[in-house]
Amino acid sequence: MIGRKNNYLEFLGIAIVLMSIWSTTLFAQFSLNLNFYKFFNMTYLLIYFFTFNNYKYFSFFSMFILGLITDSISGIPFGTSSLAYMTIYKIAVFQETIKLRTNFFAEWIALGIALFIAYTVILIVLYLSGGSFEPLVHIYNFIGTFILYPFIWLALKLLLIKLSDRKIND
Amino acid sequence: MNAKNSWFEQNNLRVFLLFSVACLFIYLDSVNQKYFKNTKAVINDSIAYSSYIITWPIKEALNIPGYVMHIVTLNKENEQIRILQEEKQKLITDNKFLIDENKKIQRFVQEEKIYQNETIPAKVILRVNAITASSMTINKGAGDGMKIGNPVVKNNNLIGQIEEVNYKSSRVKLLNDINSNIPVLIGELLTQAIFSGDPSSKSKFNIQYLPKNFLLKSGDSIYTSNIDGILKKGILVGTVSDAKYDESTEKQSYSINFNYELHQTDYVSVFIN
Repeated sequence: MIGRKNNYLEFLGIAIVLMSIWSTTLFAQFSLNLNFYKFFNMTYLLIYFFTFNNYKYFSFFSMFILGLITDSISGIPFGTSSLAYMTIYKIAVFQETIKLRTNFFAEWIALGIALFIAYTVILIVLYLSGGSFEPLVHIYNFIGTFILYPFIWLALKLLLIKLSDRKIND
Repeated sequence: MNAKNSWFEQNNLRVFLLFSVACLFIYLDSVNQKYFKNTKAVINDSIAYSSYIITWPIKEALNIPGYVMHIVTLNKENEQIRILQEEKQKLITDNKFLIDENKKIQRFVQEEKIYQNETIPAKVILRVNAITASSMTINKGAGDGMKIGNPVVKNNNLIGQIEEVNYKSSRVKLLNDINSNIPVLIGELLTQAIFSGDPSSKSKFNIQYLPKNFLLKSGDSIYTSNIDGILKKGILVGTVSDAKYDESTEKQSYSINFNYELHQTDYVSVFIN
């Protein structure tokens, strides 16, 4: 397990997650036809990754608050994203506790299960709240998010190793 | 019982409590509970304005290439405008008829002002394009006369309707939102239909409930209808273009032209009557 990181690295995790939440507004600034949002959900991946790697500030309460921010920005019923984030967090924490007995493949499969539950929760809430939704778009999003994880995992690992090395050299 | 393994240990209780609160929020939101609605309005206002402040430097930084390009092309544009202005000035001074015509148009515009709708200008503080919604947040709220359903226009084109009103901000549901369904009148015969958002299609829009065998023509204008009692009749929504009919599949394809660039919309007008 990676031990407690330097303070600014600890803060980096939550800052990156917040930026991914705000990215829906940043992409919309430039072109509404970019449609990145349609193929994957970066926030889910980041929450899973940073929780799994034992980052500070990642807790049930912070997931609840991040969920409320997401719901307020995107205009879906309050609490929906909180449920999804807390589900992903819970599964990542569970996976992290048995980390010594697992490998990357098990981590990836656990993410798949977490995503499946999170997307199911969101679709159920949207259905019960009477809003329209396109199930196919959510399925593409689920598959895209699942497939993207190894790339994000690799990119973040490389970035964080580089940042840790720089801190040590300083 | 071993307290450490108990289901009621502090950590599990906290998790259960937070899951319950999230479910309670979803329920209160769906039933539109009065106190929850007020609290949500305050939270929405704070998040909208803080998001605007936090993302503003990033947006500006990402806009720098655009500003540089703008400065580069500015001289060229200025020269073109100067030439056009000179030509225009020459035409006006040379032809008295044009001057009279101009005065006539000015009088007409003055007379027309009384038929204008009461609108409030608003600044767009957030744009959201997510899997579940396509919306923008404006800096006018309940105190400025915003009401759910008010039409929002840009360059005299409808871009959406007010979906949620907070104290100091409001959320606008854009036309391409999956939950957007606008009653419209199309073409010279003012045929009734529903203009709805369709994120899964290429054009992002869909015209539904058209009469059987009705064929859209390129150039057909789409106006709002007052059939639902919320929207005012006659607001331009867009114009049909590239309308084609495929006889083999008996389906027609078309695209919609709008008189604005949605991602460049900084200010909008809200009809308050």
